[in-house]
Amino acid sequence: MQRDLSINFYSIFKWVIIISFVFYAVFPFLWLVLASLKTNAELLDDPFALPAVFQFKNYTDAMEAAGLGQLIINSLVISTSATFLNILFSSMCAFAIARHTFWGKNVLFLMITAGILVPLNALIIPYFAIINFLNLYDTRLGLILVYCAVGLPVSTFILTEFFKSIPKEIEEASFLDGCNFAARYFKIMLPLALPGLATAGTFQFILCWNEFIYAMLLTSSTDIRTIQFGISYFTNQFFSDYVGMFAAVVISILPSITVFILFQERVINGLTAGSIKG
Amino acid sequence: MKLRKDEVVWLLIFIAPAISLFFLFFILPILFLFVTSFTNWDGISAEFVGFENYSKLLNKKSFIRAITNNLYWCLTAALITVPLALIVALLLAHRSRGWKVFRTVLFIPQVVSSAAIAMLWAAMFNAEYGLVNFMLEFIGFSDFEKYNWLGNVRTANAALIGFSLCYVGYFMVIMLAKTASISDDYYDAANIDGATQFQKDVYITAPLIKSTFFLCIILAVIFNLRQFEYVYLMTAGGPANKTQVLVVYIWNELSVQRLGRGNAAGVIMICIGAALLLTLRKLLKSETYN
Amino acid sequence: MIKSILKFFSVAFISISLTIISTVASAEITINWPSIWVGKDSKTTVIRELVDEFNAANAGAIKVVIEEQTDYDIYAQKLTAQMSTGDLPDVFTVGADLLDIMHRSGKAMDLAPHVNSDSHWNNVYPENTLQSNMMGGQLTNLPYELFVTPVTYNKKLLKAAGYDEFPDNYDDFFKMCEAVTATGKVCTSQMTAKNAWTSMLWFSQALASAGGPDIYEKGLDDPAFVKAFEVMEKMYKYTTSDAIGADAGVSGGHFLNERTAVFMNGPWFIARYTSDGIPGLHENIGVAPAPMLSGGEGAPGGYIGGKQSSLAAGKQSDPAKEEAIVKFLKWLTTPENVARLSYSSGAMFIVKADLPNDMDRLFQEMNAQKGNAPYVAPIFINGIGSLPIASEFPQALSALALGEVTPEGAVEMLKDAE
Repeated sequence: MQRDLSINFYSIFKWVIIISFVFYAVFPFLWLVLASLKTNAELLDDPFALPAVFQFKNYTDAMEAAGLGQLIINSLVISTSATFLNILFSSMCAFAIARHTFWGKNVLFLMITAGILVPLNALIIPYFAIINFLNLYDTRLGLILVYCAVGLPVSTFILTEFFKSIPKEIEEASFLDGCNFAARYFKIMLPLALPGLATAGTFQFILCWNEFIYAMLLTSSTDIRTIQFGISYFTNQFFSDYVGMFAAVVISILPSITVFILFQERVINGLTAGSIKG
Repeated sequence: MKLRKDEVVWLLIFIAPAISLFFLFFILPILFLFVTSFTNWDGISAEFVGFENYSKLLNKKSFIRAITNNLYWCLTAALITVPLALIVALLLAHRSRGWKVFRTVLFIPQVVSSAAIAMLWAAMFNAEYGLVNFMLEFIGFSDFEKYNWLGNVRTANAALIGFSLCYVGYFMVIMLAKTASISDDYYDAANIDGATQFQKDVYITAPLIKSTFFLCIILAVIFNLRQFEYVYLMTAGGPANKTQVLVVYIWNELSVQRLGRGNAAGVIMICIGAALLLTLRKLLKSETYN
Repeated sequence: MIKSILKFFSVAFISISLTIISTVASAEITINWPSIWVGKDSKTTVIRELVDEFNAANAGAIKVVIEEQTDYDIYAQKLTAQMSTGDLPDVFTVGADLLDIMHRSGKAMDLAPHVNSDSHWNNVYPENTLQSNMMGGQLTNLPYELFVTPVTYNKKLLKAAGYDEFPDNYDDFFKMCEAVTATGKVCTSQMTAKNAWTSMLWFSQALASAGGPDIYEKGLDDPAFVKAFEVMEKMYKYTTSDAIGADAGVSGGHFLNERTAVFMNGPWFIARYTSDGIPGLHENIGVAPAPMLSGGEGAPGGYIGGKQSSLAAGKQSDPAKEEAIVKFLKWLTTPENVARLSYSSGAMFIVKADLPNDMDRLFQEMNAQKGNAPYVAPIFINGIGSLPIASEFPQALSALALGEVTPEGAVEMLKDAE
């Protein structure tokens, strides 16, 4: 009897917490969708009232006016490439740091993770100069490199932690079997660290997708520009077309959510199916 | 693991890409930041001014305010946001019906660009037509009619932090991912002993993801130090400089062409961050690495 | 994993080939213009037409390409980054605050030699305009758009409060605010976010009225600054509850929805009264100079305004390209084209233009009042001549409005910003 009661309280507590947070997280987006279906006048008058007529044309206008289709493709290309490179480089580095001892290891790790502290907004002029110097202004590669580099500290940090928490015995076993450095990395560590890779990869993707300042700074032509540019299309110094912008924002959220669902689902599912023992 | 002689090459290959990119995009710019912080550079011309930028900064009320605000944010993140994320992660780890949906839904705020969210919440907090006031009146707190949350000195900071709770999803996902690697054996054994769900959460799951928990705390503190978009877009550091944070301060300095001073502020920020990071690691050293 | 590698390499390959192809293609001169008059800006359509017409007339020889800059702040940052470490764009617009630093960077094209090469610019600019814009013997910018910001008020709401005309002094003005509040509406729109634009304009009006149009030369110690802040303090008692922290969208929105009776903005905003205001708003709007402070040095009818944006070009090493750029700049400054821009967007230009008779009524009123005004004083953020002080204004204003500082304290905050 005692046990049943405590489960009930706990269950109630659990659902209250979860539902509250879900509400907290979801409600703004319901409002976003609602607002994107109003007119600007309606929005400024009373943001939370229902619109007189559902303005679906806001969405078609947004797609056309800002050329969102092309921008979404650009964002996808740039974000995917940058994420791929970032995860590759940071996992290689994290593997080296987490599993081996070598001269300068601690300094290297501290240095790279200290990169998380750097205020990127203050580095506009140096980055501009570097990209110009490399002749990568207004190129996809330029943005990809910048995004890849900028995310290295966080990714390396997360991945080092994940690598460190994998039991040493598995690796030592393979070592005795004669696996060399690269084989250990590809065959043993990567598969085991997949949740970590997925996590770091998701964050990196979202960073690239949402990044605005450098996307504007380092590009100028529409064939390179990203979706965030499309969203800023609806505002200028003196005026904001809020409803158009919200429609664009809703359109831009969908790919990010899809990526998240794909990565988290696939990887974690696969892992819990054949769980690691020992 | 100690390195075999022949594996040194591999090691170098593995760390080379990260190091070169890091050098190019971090080391060089930071050196630049450091050197120019001792000048009065405005984008075109520069003169050496020694420590003047630093002393001016440390004497300005609004700069000190920015530092304390940042620390306040970091503290809240560490003591409120991450523990809440832990609780939600533990609860979702039960894998009850629909847990995957909840996980996705709670993560959604991370996926949207900060500009859109900031605007949303600014509208929610609006005095005339904001939803927050509307709901409070609905519940019965009629004093809050037309209360300007973001425009009032006492509540601006609290309001900003209140909205940042929707970021619980970020850390929750990291910790939840870690629970996937807990072997079922532990739970099976606990079930045999007749443990309640609550006991299983507190005594098995929580300790086993302790290292990830502390990882999240470190990340949360550091992200809050770097906070820019939300503050800039919701209050721009106002009113009366009360919600100022470091990166917004730096951005303002850069916008008025005081690049030397802005870079000095950047250097100070990096030092504070480094100090925080080292302190945290020392405190949590035993906890993070098993 | 393999798929991702393949994807990456194919992307890289495609990007590289595209870049190679595009550089090989053209032999005509391309002029890049990172334009801020894009997207939702009121001048977008006509600018687009002007560029297309120019390209058609010069097909095969010159091509102007617009690169859209939708965020003004980032555009300004980019421009300063280019001044610092790169090259300035071929053609661009620059606000009054960046003119000095642009000139000092030495990377802007000197247009002086092209002024006298034909009579075009001497004809279309009022006398002495070009000369007064020269810096160090060079003409690095062409003044282009100007603005004035008088009061725009809702006649219907004022009438409901018992006022047929807009008051010409602050005592009557505040009595009017009381009357308007009694009818259930709010009197003024104010804002403190970003650069506190609307409120900053009111401040500039009060300042010019208290200290005269040359107040900025007298320095921050002049009592006029305190008097202007006193006016703002009172002003904030008659505004919406969300004014502190409000941005241009919010403060403008209140006026557009007829929640406030009095507003202040420039000619570019005129089109919005029709497009985004409640039906019939435009007919109800009147234009008036700001009220006067009794005992001040300003004169009735005084206006504020200034240079909105100037045209400029980056230094070129290729003389043919320089000629092409100058040709385009001259095209942008013909009286016919400027008239077209003015007509469709409501913007005002320094360049002489033959405006059609059916210009918007509000535009005509502003233009007429400007012509009759004894002076057009600079707005605060331009007149004060110091970017740090200008950017501290919103913080001082919000502190004042919250009662954290007195008007004297607000002036101290401005002084501390240096």
